[in-house]
Amino acid sequence: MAGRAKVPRLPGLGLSSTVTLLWLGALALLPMAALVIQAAQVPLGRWQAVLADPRVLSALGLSFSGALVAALLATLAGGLVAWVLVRYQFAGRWMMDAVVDLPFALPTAVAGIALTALWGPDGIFGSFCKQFLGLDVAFTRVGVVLALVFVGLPFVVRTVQPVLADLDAALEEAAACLGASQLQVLTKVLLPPLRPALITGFSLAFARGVGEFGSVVFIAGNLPNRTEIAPLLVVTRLEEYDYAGATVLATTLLGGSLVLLGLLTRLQRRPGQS
Amino acid sequence: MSIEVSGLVRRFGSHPALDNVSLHVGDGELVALLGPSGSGKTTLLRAIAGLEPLDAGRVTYDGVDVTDAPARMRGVGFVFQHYALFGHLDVHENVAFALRVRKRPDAEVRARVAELLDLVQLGGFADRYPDQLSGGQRQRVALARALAAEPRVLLLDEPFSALDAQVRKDLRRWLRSLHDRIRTTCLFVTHDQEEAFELADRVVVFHKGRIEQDGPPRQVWRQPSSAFVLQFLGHVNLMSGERRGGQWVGPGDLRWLGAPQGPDVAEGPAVLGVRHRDLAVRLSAQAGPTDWPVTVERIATSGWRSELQLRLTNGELLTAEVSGDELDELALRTGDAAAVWVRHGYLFAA
Repeated sequence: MAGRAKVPRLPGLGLSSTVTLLWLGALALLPMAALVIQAAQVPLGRWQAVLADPRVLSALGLSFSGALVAALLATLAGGLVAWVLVRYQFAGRWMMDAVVDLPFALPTAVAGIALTALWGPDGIFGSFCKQFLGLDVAFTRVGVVLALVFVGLPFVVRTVQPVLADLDAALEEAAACLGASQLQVLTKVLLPPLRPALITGFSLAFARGVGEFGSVVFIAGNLPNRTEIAPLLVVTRLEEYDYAGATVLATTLLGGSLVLLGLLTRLQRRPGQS
Repeated sequence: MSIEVSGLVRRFGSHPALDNVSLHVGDGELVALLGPSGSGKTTLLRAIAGLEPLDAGRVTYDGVDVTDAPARMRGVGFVFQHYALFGHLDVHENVAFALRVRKRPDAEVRARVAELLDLVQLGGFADRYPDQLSGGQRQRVALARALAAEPRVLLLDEPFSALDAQVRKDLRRWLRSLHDRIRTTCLFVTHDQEEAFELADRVVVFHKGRIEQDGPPRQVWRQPSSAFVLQFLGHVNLMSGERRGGQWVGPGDLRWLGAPQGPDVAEGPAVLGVRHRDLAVRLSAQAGPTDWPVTVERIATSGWRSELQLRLTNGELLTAEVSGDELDELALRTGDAAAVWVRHGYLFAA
């Protein structure tokens, strides 16, 4: 092993670790450190005051719970989309495959306006929901979740798709021959190897959902205490020159996301692997 | 359990993978489905297991029609070419899978798995994962897994083709002895004629979605029913010509007066097949009046046998196989003139 380690490999440990540290430091850690330093300068009383504000609590609650629910729905729907894309041959498959990435490319504000137009009281889907289900989508929390599912979906599809493509279709046939029902094939054969990819997709969709701004603000209606999301409240506080309030909110968002993502990473470990 | 398939048709687009195939497999038989890739043998195996939808035909087990029964209701053991082990489960749980989905009590599962792992000589490997095993070990786990629920029939799809030559040989002898012990009806697909002949009680040869020949290994070897079977079994020279006046006459007035192995053919276009072993070589000086004069083009020696590439006067190239001793005796070299005669020949109507 020692002899092998001496063989030089591109790009070389020195170069790659330098780039990695620089990237992590300059682009990720430095801005976050600045935020933490800012937050540390805010007196404790101010923290309590900011976080006790019902409007702030409502916004934080909506951002986290909305992102969680949306990530869950995106994982279900994205898993299905990936399944269809990998396992079935049909006309227009390449087009469907390309459409999955659209939420990445579309400016989020455009997506937000389009969603509002479709799901608003006068929109095609919105009027349908109102008439037949008695459900308002736009300007409610449902609308917030809808927008977050829209931006989260491609993360799930793109993380699950390659793993699913690598799964041998013979595994399902083997399980069927061994007497497994379709539900057992799903839960005992397909989901376990897909679990890490599903959790990664869920995490990405969730992280994006917590911070998502552009696509949400149009459809949410931004009613304080009801449909106002935390990132919007951060901007509002900044516009009011309330830097301490903005800092406390942003730090809470960051901390909450970090804890949840850390938990998800632990979940991701495959049983039988250390 | 006996298996009967009748009139099976399966098309992929316009190409028939199975073209009206009927076959009976008796209880406890060990049958090889032999053929080149794309000949329909794997499709038939999958159809018997219920993994392949059919365009026409029926499949019955012990006289009971199972054509429309899903794979999981059929109680077959299926072994896949690339093992298809569950990577997230250890060896014990892979083998236990069929018992777990049947919700058998844990004590029974443990006892049965231990027994099966002993059977496939992997007693100490219960807590390994598939990616920690060699190919031969994986395929033995796959076999144990397929046997766990006591299948009524064992179906194997090119089970040894992904393995090294030596492992392949060991494993197929082991499978033969296993079959002799448990006597479960067993069908396996292979494109390797040596494997089929060594392992099976009966060999079924496939060609273009049809059964070309069906019989015991010795019979298929000695009396191939068509030029295709003879050629597929390998090491053979095929020459077009015609049957005329009790002789076979080939291009360049090549004549063969011998009697064919197996049935004779009527006058008219006929293919003469001569296995490399059955084309005898002698020096020109000792040539008989009906021998064919040839020139030695190439001598390839591998171990105890040698292959001679011989050019006929009409330009055709023949191959003859001789032992090392024979080659020493002949003392032939590349470019030398020699003579050949047909020890045993097969004739097929063209």
